[in-house]
Amino acid sequence: MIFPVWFLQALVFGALAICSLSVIALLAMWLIDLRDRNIW
Amino acid sequence: MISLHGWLPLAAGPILSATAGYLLLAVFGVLWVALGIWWGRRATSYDGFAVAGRNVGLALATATAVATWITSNTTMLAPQFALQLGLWGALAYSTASFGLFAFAPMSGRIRQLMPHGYTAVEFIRRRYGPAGSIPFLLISLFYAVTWLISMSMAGGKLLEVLAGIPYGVGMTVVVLVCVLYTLFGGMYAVIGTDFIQSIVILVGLVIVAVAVLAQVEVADVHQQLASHRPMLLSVFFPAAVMALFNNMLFGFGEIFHSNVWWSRAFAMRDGVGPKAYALGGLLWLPVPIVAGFLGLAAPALGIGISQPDTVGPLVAATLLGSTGALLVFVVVFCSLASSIDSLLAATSDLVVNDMLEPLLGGGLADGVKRRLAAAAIIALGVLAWGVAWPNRGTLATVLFFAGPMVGSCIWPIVGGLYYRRPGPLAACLAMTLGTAGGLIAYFTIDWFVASLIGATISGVVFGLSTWWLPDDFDFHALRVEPRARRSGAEEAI
Repeated sequence: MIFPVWFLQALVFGALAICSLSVIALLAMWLIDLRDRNIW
Repeated sequence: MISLHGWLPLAAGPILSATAGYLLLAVFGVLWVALGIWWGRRATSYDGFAVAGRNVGLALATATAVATWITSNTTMLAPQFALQLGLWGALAYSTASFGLFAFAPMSGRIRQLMPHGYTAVEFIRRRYGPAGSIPFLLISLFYAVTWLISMSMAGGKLLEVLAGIPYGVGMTVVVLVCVLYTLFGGMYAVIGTDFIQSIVILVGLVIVAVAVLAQVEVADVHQQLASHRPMLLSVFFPAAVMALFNNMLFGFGEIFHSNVWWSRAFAMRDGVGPKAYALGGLLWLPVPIVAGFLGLAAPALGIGISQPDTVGPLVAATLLGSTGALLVFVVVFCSLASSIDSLLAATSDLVVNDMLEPLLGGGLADGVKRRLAAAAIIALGVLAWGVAWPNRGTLATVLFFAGPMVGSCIWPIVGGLYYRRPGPLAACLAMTLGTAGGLIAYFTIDWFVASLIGATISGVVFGLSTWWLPDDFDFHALRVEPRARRSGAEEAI
């Protein structure tokens, strides 16, 4: 029994989507911290 | 679309010219060192140098958790896992993020219990005494140095595979750059560069994966694997399922015991740690899957791999040419730097606070500790360079040797943080017997059960010893600063 193709697709595209959102999230958090003078 | 049936014209030699490799090394080397000097201006006291003034905000705190946990092993070993253990291999690697999730509440507890603390060994020493701290210090040092060497070797290998830069030269430059900027900027430089490195790594991975997907469809990869290497897609792959649990426990052990994570918990602003580690886990979770896909694509693409731990870079470079090689080079260089700098900083804290200061009678002046930390960073760099120079063993072999050791630390740390009853004997026996059992399993069975067996033996021994000889520890004792520490003035932000 092997993993179905949709599972592999969901895994790869889901992981890619989270990676892309992570970049946006990190930059947004940095901007918020910068605005609030909370970087350090 | 590239034909999946024929063999791709494999890059027989380096894909990136040595000139491009040296140029990239120079650009990033100068950038990191310059940033280290820039941020290092804040580190006017030992508190600033070792724990970045204990006031790091959510953005940098999250990024440092992500970047530090994305080691070169993530970007180079995850494809190797997928190539050898299939889909389960990539999933197994991603379970290492569970360690970050689990450490999230612990980081808040650590900050609350020890508002003036510096290291994990300091906690174990004050919680369990020398019976617990001696084995724990030995395990911590062994793990940190092993990780440091593994990372240094990865640097040398990567530069050799991608740009034809001789292993010794590449490894030396990577170690030297990291030592320099950590030396100048301490934890400020480590955390500051981690933010940039995490963005570069994530963006680079996404670009490489999207570019690969533009040429190869997931369905084609699946079809080829199902036809020629069905085991890599098998739902029942016993060794891979064992690897999943083993890797998860290895991740717990690595994060729970390592001062790399404790020093960050001390550095984060009050209340930030739990959020930062939980977010860090979420952001890290997909990285081994994306990297692992490169490994899964290798056999389907007919890419022959002579060294399994370089499958990721080779797939990207073969499919994308010099652009792919350049991207992977940058991603892995950032992964290496973000881990090596963390190890240098956190391990120098162990050397200063848990070895030199107790040996010298305690209460060292701020400036003395700062200078000792700098000396320790240089010494660690020289040690890693010296051991990595002969280039022996694969990355997995070096890394997983430490698995059973750190797996046996899980229970003494969790029990010691939350419960009064565990005592020194329980901690000592759990760490030593768990390590011994795990190492026997490593040599007699295989690496993928070593952490599992080490953590299991440690848990049973810890529980029985606590039941047999219960303690009654007063957690308030940890809040008090152990000795007068002269603190220098932190530069105003």
